[in-house]
Amino acid sequence: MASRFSGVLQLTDLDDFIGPSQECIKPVKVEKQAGKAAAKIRIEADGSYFQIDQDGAAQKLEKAKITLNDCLACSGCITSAESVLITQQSHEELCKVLAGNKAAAPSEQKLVVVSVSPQSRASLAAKCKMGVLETAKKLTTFLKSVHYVFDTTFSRNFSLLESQREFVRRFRRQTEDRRALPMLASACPGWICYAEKTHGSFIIPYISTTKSPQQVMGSLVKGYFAEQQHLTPDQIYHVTVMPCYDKKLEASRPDFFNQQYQTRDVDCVITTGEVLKLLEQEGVSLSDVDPAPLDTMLSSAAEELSTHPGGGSGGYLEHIYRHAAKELFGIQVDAIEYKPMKNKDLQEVTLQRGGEILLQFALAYGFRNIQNLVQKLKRGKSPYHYVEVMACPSGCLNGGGQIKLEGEPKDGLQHVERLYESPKAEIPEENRAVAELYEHWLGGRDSEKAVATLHTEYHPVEKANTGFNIKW
Amino acid sequence: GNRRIWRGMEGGQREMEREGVRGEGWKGDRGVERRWRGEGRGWRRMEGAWPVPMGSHPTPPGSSWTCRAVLGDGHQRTVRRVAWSPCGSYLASASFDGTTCIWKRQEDGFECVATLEGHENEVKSVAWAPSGSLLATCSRDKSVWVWEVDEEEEYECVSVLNTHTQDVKHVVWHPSQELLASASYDDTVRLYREEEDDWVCCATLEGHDSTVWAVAFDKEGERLASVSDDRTLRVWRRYHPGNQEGVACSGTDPTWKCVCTLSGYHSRTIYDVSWCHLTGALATACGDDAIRVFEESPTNFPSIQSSLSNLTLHCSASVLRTSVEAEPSRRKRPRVSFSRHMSLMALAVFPVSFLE
Repeated sequence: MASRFSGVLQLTDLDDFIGPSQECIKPVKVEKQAGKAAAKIRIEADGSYFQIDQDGAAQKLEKAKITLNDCLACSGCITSAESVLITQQSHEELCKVLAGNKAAAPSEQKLVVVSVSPQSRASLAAKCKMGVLETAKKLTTFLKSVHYVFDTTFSRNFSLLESQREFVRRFRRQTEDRRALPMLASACPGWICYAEKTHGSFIIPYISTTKSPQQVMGSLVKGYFAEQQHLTPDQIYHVTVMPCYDKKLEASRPDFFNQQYQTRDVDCVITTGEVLKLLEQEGVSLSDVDPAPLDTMLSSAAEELSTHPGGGSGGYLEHIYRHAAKELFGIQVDAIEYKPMKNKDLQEVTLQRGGEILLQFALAYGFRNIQNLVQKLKRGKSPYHYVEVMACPSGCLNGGGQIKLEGEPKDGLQHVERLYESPKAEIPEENRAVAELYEHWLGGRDSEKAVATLHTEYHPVEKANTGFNIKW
Repeated sequence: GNRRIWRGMEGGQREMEREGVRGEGWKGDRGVERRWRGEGRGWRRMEGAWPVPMGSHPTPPGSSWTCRAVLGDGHQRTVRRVAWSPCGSYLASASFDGTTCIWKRQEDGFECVATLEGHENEVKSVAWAPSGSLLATCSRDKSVWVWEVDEEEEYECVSVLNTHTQDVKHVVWHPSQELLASASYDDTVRLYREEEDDWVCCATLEGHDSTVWAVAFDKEGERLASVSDDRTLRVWRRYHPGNQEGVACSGTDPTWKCVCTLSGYHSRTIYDVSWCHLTGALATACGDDAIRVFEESPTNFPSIQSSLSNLTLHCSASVLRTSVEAEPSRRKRPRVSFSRHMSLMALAVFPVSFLE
């Protein structure tokens, strides 16, 4: 069973042959009771277990549960089994929810919101041979039993702005804080899961705390949008369409679970490929569907799409670079020159003035480059101030959940890139809707609410070294 | 795990035993000594000069070995394999602790100059490419890694190859080209080469019915021998595009075909194989406590293989030649009690090829 997770995630010790007892972090805890050890267990017809004491008294035993959240923390058995994830978060699950929602009583019904990533949209557009705007509009029609369809480009504005400001803060305190730099990108969950499991507390201080666009959207939908609709967060079912499977794991992180309302910020992640399956299941060809007007997060409608320059993975390097050049050195950067290094997934960008290097940034995509970056960092030999780290070679447009096109993969990818870059470029600082949200909903850029809503934390995962896992 | 460096001692020289201390007491005995360098798992003789302190006396050719260094602080778990670099100045050690250490020979011992990290669990094998600037490692994490070392002795990962579906047991380089072979628990042998800025799997050799434990190239590198838990030894031959035998190739990559399957000789798992580049003999290390040596039969022998193959190592005992007298004395026969590794050094020292 081939895993569809990114190569980086696949290498994190997800070995199908490790028995559950050896590496599972949820060992069965036994409450030691005084007295004789022997007890009988009786299994009821419904599958529940009862422990029978010596005097015949029956005591119902609790079921040991393992959830997806536990599995994120563990290098053991279940994470390798796609079946668990596929049933929990998939287009089939979405169909079930939609069907269930229709049949439910009005008071039980949820508002279904779908946030589509621009990478997924570009991939669909390439497959269905349309432009991205047309794709967006037709997708809105197709998902008609869904109430709103949004674009994560909007939430990405927040991720970019927060990353920019976080970098400048870190740069300014680098003399006091030896682990302020290099700052490493945080939008890629494949990278984050790998970092937490393999390098833990060594690497975590370097990772940007800014949330990914998916999770910012989660906060916006279940926070701001819910309020606007006079609903509680658990009355909204939030689906995102993403270019990879790793995003499913990101949505399941405990940090993105709203304890108060017992609901996730993102309830279900489906990949671009799964949307295609949905289309095929319904026998719909997207190009035949009538376009519908686009939904916008705020009432001020924008009937056109926008994009952020700087590559198909969000453009973090470029945005942070330009902002830092201006803020820290007063330099206005126009064109950004990339210097390719030993392979095409490793590129450097340098800001120089009078022979002095002011900023040294890099793109590091793919596992081997991440490896080398972390090893250099461990030896204290990393020359960078910021690295845009992504798990997939060639970035998000080449994610594991994207649609495979006919013909040469290289040509297909180039086509998707062109479609992705086709909308007009927007500058996050100039987006009025974003500014309004900062001011009115978040109470200011540096407010506690802004930090809590737009930033997150990481947790090292301890590996159990039992010695059972020696295999000759 | 400890690694011990043994130096052939000339008889009559007093033994200098160093234990427990890393790399201490490395002294030269004479101007010239014989060094035995790993080639896959075989050894071949090399000569080199080591510093000779004044006043040491010359000694007759080696009859005993002494421990020159114990490198005990490099690894936290079993050291599974060691390999000398082609230039002889470096030693790589692969360990179950997930790391591969690179040791550089110094005047007074060995120093760990690099630790290659990244494998998720036990590293099973390490091998240097003939050029000396590339290294390959493989692991239970199913991956094969290619590393590159630059002039400043900095090691960087060049490629992570995830084509095997199970634990990878052994990696070996082609004797003269930058072509890498790996053997795995998934019953296959895979070959890799560089393509643009990455490495790709250019061939998959299927045929074994169980774990392939080791592989070895012949001297020219046109043939590959593999041994397996299925108790067979297989020999594969490379057919280049446009070959006269009419073997089809896809694109510019050569095709490898199995030209010989040797079964019925080994009663247990075969763990190791070595192909002597001097004599062409194949030696196997088996779980039935025996070492076997196979040689090619003369070509006029009736062949049950197809006309494609000109390698006749048949599955019938009468074909195999032995160059040993009928009753080799016990003293001369090196019986190895089985660890998985072939102590071919023994074979080279006692040049007796014998047959089970």
